[in-house]
Amino acid sequence: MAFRRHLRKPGSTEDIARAAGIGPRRPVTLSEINRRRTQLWSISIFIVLSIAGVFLLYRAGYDSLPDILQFKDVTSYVVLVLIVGLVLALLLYVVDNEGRLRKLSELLVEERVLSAALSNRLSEISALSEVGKAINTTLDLSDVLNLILSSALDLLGGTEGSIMLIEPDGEHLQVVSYHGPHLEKVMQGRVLIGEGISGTVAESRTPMLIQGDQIAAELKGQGHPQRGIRSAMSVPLVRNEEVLGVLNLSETEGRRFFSDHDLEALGLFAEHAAIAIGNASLFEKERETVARLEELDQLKSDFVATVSHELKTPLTAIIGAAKTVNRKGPEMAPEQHASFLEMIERQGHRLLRLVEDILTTSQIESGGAARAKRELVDLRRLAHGVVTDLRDAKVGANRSILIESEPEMPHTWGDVLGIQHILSNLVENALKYSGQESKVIVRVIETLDEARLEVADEGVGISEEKLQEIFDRFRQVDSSSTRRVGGFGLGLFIVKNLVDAHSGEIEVRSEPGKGSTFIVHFPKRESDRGSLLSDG
Amino acid sequence: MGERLRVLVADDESALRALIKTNLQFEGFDTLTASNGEEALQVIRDEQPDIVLLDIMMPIMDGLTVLTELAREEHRRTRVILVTAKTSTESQLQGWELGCDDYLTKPFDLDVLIERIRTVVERSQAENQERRRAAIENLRLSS
Repeated sequence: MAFRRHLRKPGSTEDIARAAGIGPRRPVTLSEINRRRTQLWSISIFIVLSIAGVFLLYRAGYDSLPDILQFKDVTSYVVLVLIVGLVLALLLYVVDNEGRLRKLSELLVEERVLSAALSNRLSEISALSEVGKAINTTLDLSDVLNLILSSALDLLGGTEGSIMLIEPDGEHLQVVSYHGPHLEKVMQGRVLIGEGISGTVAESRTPMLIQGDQIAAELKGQGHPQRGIRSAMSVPLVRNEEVLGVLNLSETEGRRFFSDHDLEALGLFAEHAAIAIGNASLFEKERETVARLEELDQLKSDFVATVSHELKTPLTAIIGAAKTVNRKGPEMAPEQHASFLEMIERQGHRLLRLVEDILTTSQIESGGAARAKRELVDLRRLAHGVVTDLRDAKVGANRSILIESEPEMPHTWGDVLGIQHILSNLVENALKYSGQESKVIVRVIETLDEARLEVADEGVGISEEKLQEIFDRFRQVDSSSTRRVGGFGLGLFIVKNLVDAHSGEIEVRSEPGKGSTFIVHFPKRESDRGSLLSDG
Repeated sequence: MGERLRVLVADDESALRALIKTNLQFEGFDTLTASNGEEALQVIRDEQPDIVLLDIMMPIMDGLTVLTELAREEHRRTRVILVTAKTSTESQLQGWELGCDDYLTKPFDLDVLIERIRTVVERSQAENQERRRAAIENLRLSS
């Protein structure tokens, strides 16, 4: 019976177990199989020993035995054959069962390996899903990368792991996340792309798994601390066809070697890391945009505050002066009277210029100033006009403003009003930022290649770092509450835009404490060359 | 106090200085002027005016710094009215915390300015009298 069942196509483990004598109520475990095996062998050894014992007894007392047992007739041969047959049957039974048990234990081991692999798979999936969750809920990139690294280490083993990203120069890898015993040493490390394991992976975009001596060979002569690595794997972080960095795991104590399966799993972690990096860079970009907008917004509201402050001062003076003259006119001395009227006039002009600046700025913003007219401009006349206008507007009333021209009548092509505005703002600035006693020099120059306006003062000057931003809108050299002069900070912004509209260039030479020189270049077109000079 | 009140006008805008000064003179005050914070502090220490009209935005040293410096001095006689274009609650609070006696924002009305000066001076005189009376009271009690 048992034999026939074994001959059936081997079915489930339970079938085989039942055939091997492990009943349906007993669990099929390796120890059960071993117990059954021992049983089997003990029984067979017992039987063999009993037969041997009987045989020995039989030999010892051969002569006293009845005839039938002395094998002297046919019957006794039959008995012998029976005994031999019995032993053979027993032997067959034992061999059959032994085979079945061996098969069973093989199956069990296989099953165990399978279920272990399955549970590995499960923990991989759950680790990856943790990582996925973290990517979606954590905005801090270094947190996400740390988590990815630590779950990869937890899952795949290894003594240390690192995530390296390609630096903006595109030539080096920099460690951004590291788990392991050499934190300080590793975090400072930079690796050239193409060198070492990580460098090679970053360059070739192919995952790499190497063991033992291969590693030493790979790292040899590159000055890398070898740290006795026994098994290492490295996979590239790729997003949109672009390599962002690498993810490395290594084993230094030789407890285990990574397998191809481990490498594959590490690849999954790398995919997640690449996504996280992508998300973070998008988020970063978004944040930068917001910060820029906020800064602009801040500048604008500062601007509004400055505008209201700047408008209030002349208004206070105008209203106050008018009221005073109105009420106290008869009591005032004539020169006092005159000075109050002049105050009203001067502050009125000041208001007007502020309003004009705001208007010009909004024109520039809507692109209106981009098209400069082209007419022949007499620079010397223009300079004299600007200075006279400024004096009329009571700006720098008692200051010395010198005009130098070279040659006698320099000309340029451009928009008269625009160039007037440029020069006027520059001269006004020069007056604002320099002392009462110092002089301001305006030079108008024409050469073969260009026409030039220069405005030099002996004032406070501009420091190196401030030079970068003086042409920005709303900026002033000193925006603190101890600032020296009023104004919106629009003057130079306007100048810069008007110069741009003339395809010109503006340059500043300045030394803090010694003064500044603003130089505006108006280049001549091919067709203009020479003609202007001869005209002059 | 029969003598004329002495007022320091500290403002970097010469127009405003001239305007306020003229009007105060019409009202019978003696005036002093300063065009920046440092100068103002010097004049306050040297001349001990009764009252100072202090602008906040001034070169070299701003008005709030002047106020901070004054708060450190023990027997401050000079009263401070901040006169500024800074209208934010923030800077007003800052001024009050530093111990100004009044806060006036530009553009101001000259009549209001003069009224405020008078009020501050009267209050200061009342306080002085109160202090004197309290001091006499103290002396009596202790004797």
